[in-house]
Amino acid sequence: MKDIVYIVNINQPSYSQYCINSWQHWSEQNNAEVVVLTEPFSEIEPHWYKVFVYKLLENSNIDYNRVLVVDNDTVIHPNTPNIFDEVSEDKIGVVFDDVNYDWTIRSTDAYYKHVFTDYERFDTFEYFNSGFIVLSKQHREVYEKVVEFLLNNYQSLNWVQSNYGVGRDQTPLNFLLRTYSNGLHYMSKRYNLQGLLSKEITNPETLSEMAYVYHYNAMPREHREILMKQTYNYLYE
Amino acid sequence: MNKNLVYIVSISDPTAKVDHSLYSKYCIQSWEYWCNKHGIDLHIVTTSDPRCGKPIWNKELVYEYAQGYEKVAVVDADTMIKWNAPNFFDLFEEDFCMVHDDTNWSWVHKSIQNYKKFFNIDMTMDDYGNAGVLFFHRKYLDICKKVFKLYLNNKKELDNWDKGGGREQTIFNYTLKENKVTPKWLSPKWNLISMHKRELFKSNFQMQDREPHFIKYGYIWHFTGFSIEDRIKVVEQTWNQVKHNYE
Repeated sequence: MKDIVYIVNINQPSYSQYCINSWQHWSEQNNAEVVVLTEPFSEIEPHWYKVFVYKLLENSNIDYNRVLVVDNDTVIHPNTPNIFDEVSEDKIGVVFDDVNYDWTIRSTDAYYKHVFTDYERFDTFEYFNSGFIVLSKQHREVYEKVVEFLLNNYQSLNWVQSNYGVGRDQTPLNFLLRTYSNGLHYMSKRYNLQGLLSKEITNPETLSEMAYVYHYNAMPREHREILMKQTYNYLYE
Repeated sequence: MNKNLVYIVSISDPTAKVDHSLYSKYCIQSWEYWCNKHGIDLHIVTTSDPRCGKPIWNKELVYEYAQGYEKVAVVDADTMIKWNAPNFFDLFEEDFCMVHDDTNWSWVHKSIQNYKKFFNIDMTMDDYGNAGVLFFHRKYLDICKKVFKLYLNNKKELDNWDKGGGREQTIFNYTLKENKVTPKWLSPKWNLISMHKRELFKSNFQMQDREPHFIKYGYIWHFTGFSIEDRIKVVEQTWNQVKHNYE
């Protein structure tokens, strides 16, 4: 039974080829399999498709052991150690999101005020990025609860995004996963290096020496395309 | 003499383009208030030791001054502590505590490469912390002594260092690792560096909250990563906004 790398890739932007190819290469070396979702399956915003990972794998009759949910704007270094070995099966592996605290604070405040009023407002500096989440079979029930919460509160969640512009899935997941799970395991930022422009690290050679997974978020789309291609070519061509 | 010490180097360098006391005077007031509130000794180094070239190396001489104290904090003169920050000496026992320095990965990469010549070990971002806020048990004073010894042994080269990558911070990090010290990594709230890059000077306008994020959520504000002229302005503005809490 293989571990799964699950990537939502609706609309299939051209930069996603670098992401998927790199993860396929890494998966071949680590007894894992890349599963890419390319077709919409409901009226729900595609941002939320990540939380349907267990349902989609099971509906597709794909056997799985561990699961890594990763965004389509990431590139992995081919020599990255086995990510699943870094997190025990009872914990959810995540990486801090430390790029733009103004956004994460405003997002947390807005969702807390309008949706998660009965939840604990977690520490600002423990906010995690939802573009890289390590799971196991033990989290199937956790994600069932997340899906249930989503379906029961879909209008409220959308209202927050419409009125505050503070994202869709990431902040609700920050409230829900730490509430429903047996605990989060904060991994090294080298496993999900975000905000490359802000952190002034885009050179592929430097990246390859400093981190394992490069997340091309928080940048204009045209920059993302160029930089992902550049890094992919350096690592794999 | 209290059992714990906060140690700050704040030396006005006559050759510097800008008088650093223009901002450090506010920072030190915050530390004076906080140390007094918690019964902690505060020592401000204002005169450079003759053994030191650049004033920054006086930080390492804490190993001489702090003899007899149980726990020590070495903090930069461009840090301000929030009036109601809890007593960080209660956060640890026999640990060495710091905060990761990971807001400019290229700078760290270059610095690690440049200073590697003095060490026979590898270092990653997971090992690398900011040396501007350090809390530690007295047993780690020996690390400061070792860093100072390395400085004295390479004084000419380090005083004339032109390769970039800062001065003592990376050497300090290497020395920790070389001596198999695994730091206790603290939340960024204990050393908020590069606040402008991480948008921490803003406030939540959507909630009509005018308090800047760094004041609301941080305990130690480290005014780094921007020009010295801007630092003076920002520190002064911050102090004018919060000083009533320190009276």
